[in-house]
Amino acid sequence: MKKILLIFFLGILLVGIVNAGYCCEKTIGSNPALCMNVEPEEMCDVSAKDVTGKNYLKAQTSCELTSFCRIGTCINLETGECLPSTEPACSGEGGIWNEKTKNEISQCKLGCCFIGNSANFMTQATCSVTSKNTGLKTDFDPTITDAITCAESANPTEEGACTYVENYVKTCKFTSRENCQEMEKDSSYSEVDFDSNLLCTAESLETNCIPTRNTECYGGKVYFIDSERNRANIYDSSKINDKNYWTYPAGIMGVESCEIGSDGNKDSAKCGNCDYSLGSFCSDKGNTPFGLIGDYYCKNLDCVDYRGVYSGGVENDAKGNLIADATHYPRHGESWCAWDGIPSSPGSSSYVLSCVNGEVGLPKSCDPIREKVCNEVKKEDSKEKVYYEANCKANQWRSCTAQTNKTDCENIELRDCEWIEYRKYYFNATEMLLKNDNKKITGMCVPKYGSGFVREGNPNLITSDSCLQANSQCVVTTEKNIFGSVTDEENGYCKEDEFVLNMMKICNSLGDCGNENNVIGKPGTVRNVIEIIEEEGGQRIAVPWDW
Amino acid sequence: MFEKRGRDKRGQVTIFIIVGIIVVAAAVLIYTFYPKIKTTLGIEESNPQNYIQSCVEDKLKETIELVSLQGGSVNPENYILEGGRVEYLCYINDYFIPCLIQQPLLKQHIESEILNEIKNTVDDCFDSLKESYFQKGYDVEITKGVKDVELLPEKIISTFNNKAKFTKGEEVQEYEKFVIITNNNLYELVAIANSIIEWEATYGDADPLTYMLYYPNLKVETISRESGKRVYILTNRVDENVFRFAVKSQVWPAGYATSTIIV
Repeated sequence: MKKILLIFFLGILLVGIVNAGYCCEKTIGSNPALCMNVEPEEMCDVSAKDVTGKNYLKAQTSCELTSFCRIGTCINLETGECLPSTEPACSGEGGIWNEKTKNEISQCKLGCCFIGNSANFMTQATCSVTSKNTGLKTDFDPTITDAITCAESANPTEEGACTYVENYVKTCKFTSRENCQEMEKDSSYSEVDFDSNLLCTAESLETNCIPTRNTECYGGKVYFIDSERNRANIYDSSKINDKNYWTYPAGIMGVESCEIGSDGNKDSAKCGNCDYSLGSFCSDKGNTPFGLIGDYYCKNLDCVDYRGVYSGGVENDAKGNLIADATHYPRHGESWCAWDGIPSSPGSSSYVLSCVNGEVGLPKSCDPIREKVCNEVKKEDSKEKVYYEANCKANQWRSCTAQTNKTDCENIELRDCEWIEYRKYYFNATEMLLKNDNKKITGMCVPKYGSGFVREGNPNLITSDSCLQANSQCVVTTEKNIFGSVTDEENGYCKEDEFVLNMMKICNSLGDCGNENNVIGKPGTVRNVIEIIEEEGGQRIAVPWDW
Repeated sequence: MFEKRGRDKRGQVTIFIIVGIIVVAAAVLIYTFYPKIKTTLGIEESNPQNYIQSCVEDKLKETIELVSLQGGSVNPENYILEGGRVEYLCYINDYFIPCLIQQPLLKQHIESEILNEIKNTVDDCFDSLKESYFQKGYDVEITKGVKDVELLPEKIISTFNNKAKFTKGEEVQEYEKFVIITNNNLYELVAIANSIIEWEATYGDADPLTYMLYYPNLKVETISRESGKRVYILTNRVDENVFRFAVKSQVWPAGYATSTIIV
C-alpha cells in the first residue's frame, strides 16, 4: 500500500513537472508573481525590468529546471535572515542569493545567540546584526541545535546592588555589574560599589532605599520594588516584613522565592511567581484577588469566561455541540476543533479555535472547501489533566471510494474515510455506479469529510465523477397475478423511503453532492431525488437524482 | 469703618491695574525685542528640527499604517482583497506544493516604500521651512542630501541628510541632518512575518498558536479563503501595532481534478 501511495504522489509531482508549460520570471495578469509555472505562454511578462532594463525571462520548462528561477537561499545582509527564495526575488538592496539551501550555508545555520542576559535561537548572521542594532555584546554557539536547549542555556547577567553617592546622598540601583562599572566612569557619581549578593534594601548598605508594599511586572512575574523603584525579590505576601527577603536576592543565604506550583499561581494574592507556559502572566488589570498587596498579580490566562463550542465541555448547545461552562473551559494554549453548521454540509468548513491570554481569538478556518480539515487530539498533561490540541491537516479523502474493506478504509494514517454498510452495496469503479451484486465486498468506503465545490467560478475543477459514483439503478420486477393485483418479485425495498435516505446519505458523503441542507440550514432546490420510470410489463426503474 | 473699607478696595483696584499694565508692557517688550520667544507660539519656527518633524509626521505615520495593513507595499501588485488590498508575500499557482517567497527582503522593501511615499512631502516641508525662515529675516541655505528610512527594534528612524544654515545678523543656526524617530514595532512584526512565510514556504499552513505561545505580547490571526489563500494579521498586544500580509500556499484542487496549474 505504501508503494501505491508513493507512486500516487510521485505521479502528482511528475504530472506537475510535465504539465508545466512555461516558467515565467514574472507573470502578468491580476496576480503578477515571480517565478511561476504557467499555461499559456502569453501569461509571461517579457517587458523590461525597471532596474536593469533587461527583459524578464521565460522558458518552456518547469521553473525548477531553469537557471533563473530555481530555488536557493536569499541572505538578507541587513537582518541576517536566510529565506528560501529565487534569485529574482532576492535582487533588492542588501540581498545576496546563493544557490545552496539554507542548511548548506554556514552563516545561515541556526545556533544559540547569547545577547545580554537572554539566549535566542537564530542564524549567526542575525546574531551579528542584533549585536549591531542593540549595541550589546553577543556570543554565538553553533553547537546548540534546538530552541529549547538554547533558551535553557541562557546565562542571566549578574545583577546586584550598585551603590553610589549622588548629590551627597548615598543611594542604590539594582543593575548589572557592567552598568555599575559604567557609572563609575561618570563624574556625577562617587563611591560607586557593586555587590551581587545584596539587594538595594539591605540595611548594611546604608542607602536611602527602603522596602515598600509596591510591586511591578518584570519578565512576566510580579516583583517587589523598593522606595527608589529598584526591583527586589518576587512578590510573596508572607515575606513583606521579612528582613532577609529584603536583603538577599533569591538563591543567596537561603532566601527562596515562593514556588510556581502546578498552576503558575493563577489569580494568587500570595505569590507573584507567574509562569506563562502554565497560563499565568503578570498583569495590573482584571479581577484583583482579595488580599493582594500592590497593584500586580499573576493573571489567569485560561479562558474562564468563554461559553462557546469546546470539545472539553459537558453540556450541549441547541445544535448539539459541546460547550464550555464555568468549570469546563479551555486552558491557555489549548486548541480544539469546531464546525460552522453541520460538518461537511455545502459551504461548511472546520475551524481551529484556540485560547491564548484569556481570550478565544479569531477562529482559524482550515479551508472553505474542506480540502483541509481540523484534526483534534485529546491529550493528558503531566498532572493527568485533559487538554486538546488541534490543527488543520490535509483531508485525505480521494482514495476512499477505492477501498474495498473496512480495515483499509479506516486506516487513519493513510486516509480520512469511514466504512458504511447498506444491503451490500459497493462502489463499482468501472460502471461508476453503486451496485450490490458482488458478494465479496460488503460495504462502501466514503470520505469522513466530503470535499466541497470551489466557489470561484472554475468549472474545470469539478469533474462529474465526484458525485456520479453514488448513482444507482434499481430494477424492481413486479408481477400481476390472476386477480389483477401487483406484487413485487424482486428489489421491492427500492420503493421504500429508507432506500432513498440511505442512497442520499451515501451521495452526500462524497462531497457537495445530492440534496442536503447547506451551512446555513437552507435545503437544496432539488426535491425529487428518485426518478421512477414505469415500463410496460410492470418493470420499474428507480434512478437517484444526479447532480 | 466703612470709609476705611472703601479706601482698601480702591487700593486693591489700583494694584490690579498696575500689575495689568506691567504684564501687558512685558508682553509687548518680549514680542518686540525677542523674536525667538515670540515664535514659541509656533514652535516650528524656533526649531527647524521640530518644524520638519511636525510637518512630516502625519504623512509618515499614515504611510507606516498603510504599508503595515497592505503587506508592506503602498500599491500592492499581487494582492487579495480583505478589507483593502493585502500583498501576497508568498505565492504559488501550482497545486499541492508550498508557496514561493516573493519578498525575501521585506524589511528593505518596506523602508523603500515608506521613503518613496514621503519624499515629496519631505521636500515640500523643507521648502516651507526655508520660506518661513526667510520671511522672518533669515538667510537660508538648504542643501538636499540623501534621505533614509530604517526599521529598527521598537522604532523607525527617518533621516534626511539635508544640510541647513539659518543666518540673521550674528545669529547662525546650522544643521547637518534632520532625524525623526517614530515609536513602532514594525521591525519585530516583520521578523515574525518572515518566520511565518518561511514556514509556509517550507511546510505550508503555519500554526499561529505556536507563535503566540512563544511571544506573550503577540497575537496572530488568520483569515482563510478558497484555494489556499490566507491573510495573516499580526498584532502587538501592548501598543496594538498591526502588520497584515497574504499567502497562497499548498492549494488542493476541489473534487477529483488533477490539473496542476491554476489558471
